[in-house]
Parts: sequence; structure tokens; C-alpha cells
Amino acid sequence: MSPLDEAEVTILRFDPSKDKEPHPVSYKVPGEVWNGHKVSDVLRYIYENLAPDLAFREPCGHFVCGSCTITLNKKPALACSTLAESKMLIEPLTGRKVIRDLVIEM
Amino acid sequence: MGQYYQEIITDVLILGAEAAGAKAAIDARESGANVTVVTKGLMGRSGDTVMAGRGIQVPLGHMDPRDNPEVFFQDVIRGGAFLNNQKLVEKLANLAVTEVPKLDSWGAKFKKIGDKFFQYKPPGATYPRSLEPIGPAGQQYRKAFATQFKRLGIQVLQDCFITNLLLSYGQVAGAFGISLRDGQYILLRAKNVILATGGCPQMFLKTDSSRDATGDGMSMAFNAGAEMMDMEFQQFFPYCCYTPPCEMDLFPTGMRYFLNARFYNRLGEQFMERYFPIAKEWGLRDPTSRAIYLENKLGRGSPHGGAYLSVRHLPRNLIDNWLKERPQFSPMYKMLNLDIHDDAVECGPGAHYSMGGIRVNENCETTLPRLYAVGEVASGMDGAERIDGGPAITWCLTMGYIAGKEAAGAARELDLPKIDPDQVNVELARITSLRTRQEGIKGLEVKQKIKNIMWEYCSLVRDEKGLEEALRLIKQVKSEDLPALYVPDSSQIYNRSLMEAFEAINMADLAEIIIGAAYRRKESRRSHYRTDYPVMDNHNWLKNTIIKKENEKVLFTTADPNITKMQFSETEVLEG
Repeated sequence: MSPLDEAEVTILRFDPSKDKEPHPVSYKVPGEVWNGHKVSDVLRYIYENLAPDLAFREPCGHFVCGSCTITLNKKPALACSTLAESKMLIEPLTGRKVIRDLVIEM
Repeated sequence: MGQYYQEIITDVLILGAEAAGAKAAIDARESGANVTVVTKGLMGRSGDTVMAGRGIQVPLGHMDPRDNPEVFFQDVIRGGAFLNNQKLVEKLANLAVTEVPKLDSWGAKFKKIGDKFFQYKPPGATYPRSLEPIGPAGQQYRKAFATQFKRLGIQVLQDCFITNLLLSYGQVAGAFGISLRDGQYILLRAKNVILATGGCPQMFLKTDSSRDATGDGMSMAFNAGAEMMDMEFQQFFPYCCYTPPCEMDLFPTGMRYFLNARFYNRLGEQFMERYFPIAKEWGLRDPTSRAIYLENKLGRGSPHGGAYLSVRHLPRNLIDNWLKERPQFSPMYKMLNLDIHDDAVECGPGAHYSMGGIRVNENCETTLPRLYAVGEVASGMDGAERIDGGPAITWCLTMGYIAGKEAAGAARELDLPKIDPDQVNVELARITSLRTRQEGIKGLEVKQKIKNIMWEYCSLVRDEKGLEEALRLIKQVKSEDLPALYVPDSSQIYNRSLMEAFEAINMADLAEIIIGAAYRRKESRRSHYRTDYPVMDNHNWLKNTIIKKENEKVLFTTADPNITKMQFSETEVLEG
């Protein structure tokens, strides 16, 4: 796969006021958006361009506040300090109450 | 959902739950008041406190016995180029000695030598004065405040976005907001309100601040009729990472302060010496930022508009040991994807801190009855420039102490003001109209527009023509975009787009007054630099800018700074 290929990003979406249970939704993200950029940049791209109703946290962006912690390909990660990959499954951090999508109670 | 809202009644309502708000809450609670704290994010993770990693200034004199509150006071006034409220700074400098070390006793750890604190000397300080946190400072502050909140049983409403302050016969009587977790509206009623919502560096395109720092509290106070002061003074921080373009500042600042890193331009020159023959690499933040900006204007910058920050002059093992002592830096270092033994970090300026804000007196009272302001949301501590090395957290802790005690004490004598139901209806209508509009412009798009306008015309270098253009563009945003704001998300739960729509409205109001203040100040002073008036004019402009909204009109006036014991002197103004 060439680094400029689209990435396939699957996010586990859940809105307790509308959905019975969480469901995965996939988004295609262009190479220049993900390659060499952080997972948080990819989430922001999806929110700005593909899914304006995506709920996620991103206060500090400096690897310190921890608000953006997610599960990336089954492992916990800080979205702001992890480089994006071409195939990503992004889920909320496990073991916490999910408020909506990737936003959990902390 | 609809017309129903939850009503919460408290003695002291505190908006903002980080250093300033948390400290105010602790001191108000300890003075016997019933306290409710609200934050739009998560306590300990929201706003800029969690990112304050460089230390806290406190004049303990542990490293140099010549340091004391008086010298600290003088450094702050000199740094602020004499626009500070001296009565306030004097009080804060004295209180720092007792209030700052409390953080240490609450569990936030700082480097010590024996039973004394290690203190380093940041730019602008006469003697070593800044405590150096051990490990990630923000996380330690979070734990320290959380422990105290638990001990005192202080209630925090997290993920609660306040849309407006509520008034009663000209006095502040509470606030209205939305609980993002369940979409419920909340009416908060209080005898006294303390604003601790931070500054507005998110107004600018490039910034190292938290995305929360949109100046909501400033905008709400201004619209409620509180006087604002010195809004033209916004600080730009020179050590923001430009490659990758994240404006992450902790790592490069660490290199600068603790490894004596040097700046180079494209030609390999250590250009800071040209701008600051005496201070060299240790210039104040804004002049240093401007030096980088000017090098780029002259074609001598780095590829992304910054400069090269390097520690290559140091032995390899010295750098290695420094890195080893700071495991919190390792993900940042990894992200930089370079070897600092050999390579420089590309750095440049980003908006960092607001010197301007809500006008307060030495008791942290605003000009609106029953409204206090503490920390970065307030003005008067820093004058035209905040000095380096952590007085921001010092102000948070000391002002929190003052306002917490004052507000709690005053609450004992006060009745709970009645809320005019019309105001609540106006707020509900404002929210409903945003939510029912089916198409238009998104809050995040308006925010981006404002950030671009402010960066282009009202950041490091300003002039009359640019500021006129900025004002024209912002008025256009207000007249065309704000009425077309819509929320492309129909959910009641954690509706980010709704929050961003309100942030856009808040930012537009602040943009107008920052530009207006910058336009009127026809001189250059520290963070405010006018190419058409490049010199500090102490004859005409040794003045604070006062801004007030009256009958829907914005009024700009000036006032003499509050001077107690340090009279202006040319020789006392540092270079830059």
C-alpha cells in the first residue's frame, strides 16, 4: 500500500438517546490527512468533513491531559500522541461509561 | 427536553475547575460557604493548567536569599512595562509565599535540595524563583486538587457548558447552561459568582493552548456589562513546535530553559543576539516571538515560518541524562521523529496567554456586583507582558485564595437574588434557534475564520490598515455568519457542534474588542507591536485600555494604572 492511499477508519459509534447498541461506521480518509499525522488529526478531519455529529474529546493536544484516550486497534492510546495508520479501528476506552461515541466519563 | 431545566442553588458558584477555580472553591468552602463548581470539560484535564509544565514562581529565596516578594513585585511590574495594577500585584506577591507551597503539601511534588525547594531563574526574574515540578506537573495538580475536593466534599459539574451569566437588577445572580452528558438545561443560582474560565489564545490560528481556551467567561462578563481591560495584550510564545505542525511547546521549552538551547536562522546565525544584545536567548516571550517573525519576513526563517532550536553544543550524555530524568517527554520526543543530539527542532510563535481580561480590583472584584474574576480571565496582574517561568499559576492560586475568601464571607450577609424568568427564556430561545436552523455555517467554520483573521492582522505585528481590515472582516462575521450559525447534529447528548457554535459567538465578540483596543493604542509596548508606531510612548500611553458595553455599544476609554510604590522609570524598562 502506498503511503498516499486512503486509510480506512472504523469508529464505534453510539448515541444512547438514539441507538440500542454501539455500531461500527467506516470512513475513508485521504493519504495527506493521515500519513505522518496523528490519530487526533484524523478524528478532526472526520468531524469536520464526514461526520459533524461525531463526539470525541481533544482539549490539550500536547500529550498531557489524557482526555483523548481511546482504544486503537484494541490497545489504549492517546489520540494526540499516536501516529495514524492506514487501517484503524477506533473505539472508546474500555471499562468506563460511554457518554457518546468516543466520549467517556473520566 | 424543552422548557424544563434543573435548578441548582449555591452560595458561591465557580465557573472553571482548574488552578484558579479549584483554589477559589477550596478557600470558599474552607470559609464555610456552600460551593458549586462547573467546567465545560473534565476537571484536571480541561483548560491550560494541565499544560503548565514549566514551574511556578514563588519568591521563597531558597536558592538566593536576596529574593523576596518585593523583588518579585518589581520584576512583574518591569516585565509588564508599568501597566500592572500594583495594588493587586503587591498583594499576590506576598500571598504567593503561603499559597503556592500548599500545592506541595497537597501532593504535587517539586524538586527539592534537602528541605529547600530547588528554584531556577526564568527570563525576566532577578533571582532564581521558579519551582521545578518533578514529572508531569499537570497530572500532579489534578491529583492535588481532586484530593482536596474530596476532603471538603465540593461538588463539580463536569461537561457542563455555560451559555450566559444571569443578572438581577444589575447584579450577577447566576448562570445558565447545558449539561452535555444528558442534554439537560441547568439554571444555577448563587449569592456570588467567581469566573475562572481562563484566557482566549484559541482566538489565533497558531496556538499552544488548550482547545478549551476560547474566552467564554470573558465574553459573558463583557456582554453582562463588566469592564474589560488591556485586551490588546495577548502573549505569543516562541517555543511552539512547527514540525510536525502541532504547536506542542513543552518539549522545546524544556530544551530552551533547562538545556540552554539556542536559536538559529536559515543562515546558521544565532540571531537572538542581534535583537537582544544583553538578554540574548533569554528575551521576554513576545519580543523573542517577534524576532523569529522578523527573521522570516527578511527571508532568513525556517521552512514553516519558524527558526531552528538546537542543543547540539552540549555533550551527548548530558542530553541523555536530561531525557532520562523526564520520561513524560518520551512520547513527544518520539513524535518529533528526530535526534536532538544532532537535529534542531523547528519552532515558532503561537498564542499562549491573555494579559488582558476582566478588570478587577485587589479583591478580585469585577465592576459588576457579585462577580469576581480570578486567574487568566482577569486583567491587571501582568500589564503589557507576563514574565516567564510560571507566575500564571501563582496568580491562579493567590487570586483563588482572595476571591474564595471574599465571596464566601460576603455570601453570609447576602440574600439569594431572584432570577428574572425573561432572561432564562431569552437563553432558551437562543439555544432553540441555533438548533432548529437546518442549514448555514458551522461553529467550527466561524471559529476558523476568526482564528485566521486574528493571526493575519492582529497577532505579532499590527498596523492601522491591517487592523481596519480585521475589524471589517469581524463585523462581516458578526452580521453574516453568526445569524446563519447552525448545529449539524440533532442529538441532545454531548453535542459538540452546539458548544462550538457558542464558542464562535464568544470569540467574535472578543475579536472585536481585541482589534478595537489594538487599533486605539498608538504605540508599541511588549506584546502589542505596531509597525506604524514602533516606539513605547510613555508620555501618552502609560495607560490601561478600558472597554465596556453600554446600550449595545462598545465604549473604549483609558485609565491611569494603579500605582503604589514603583513609579515609572525609563531605565527600569527591560530591553524589548
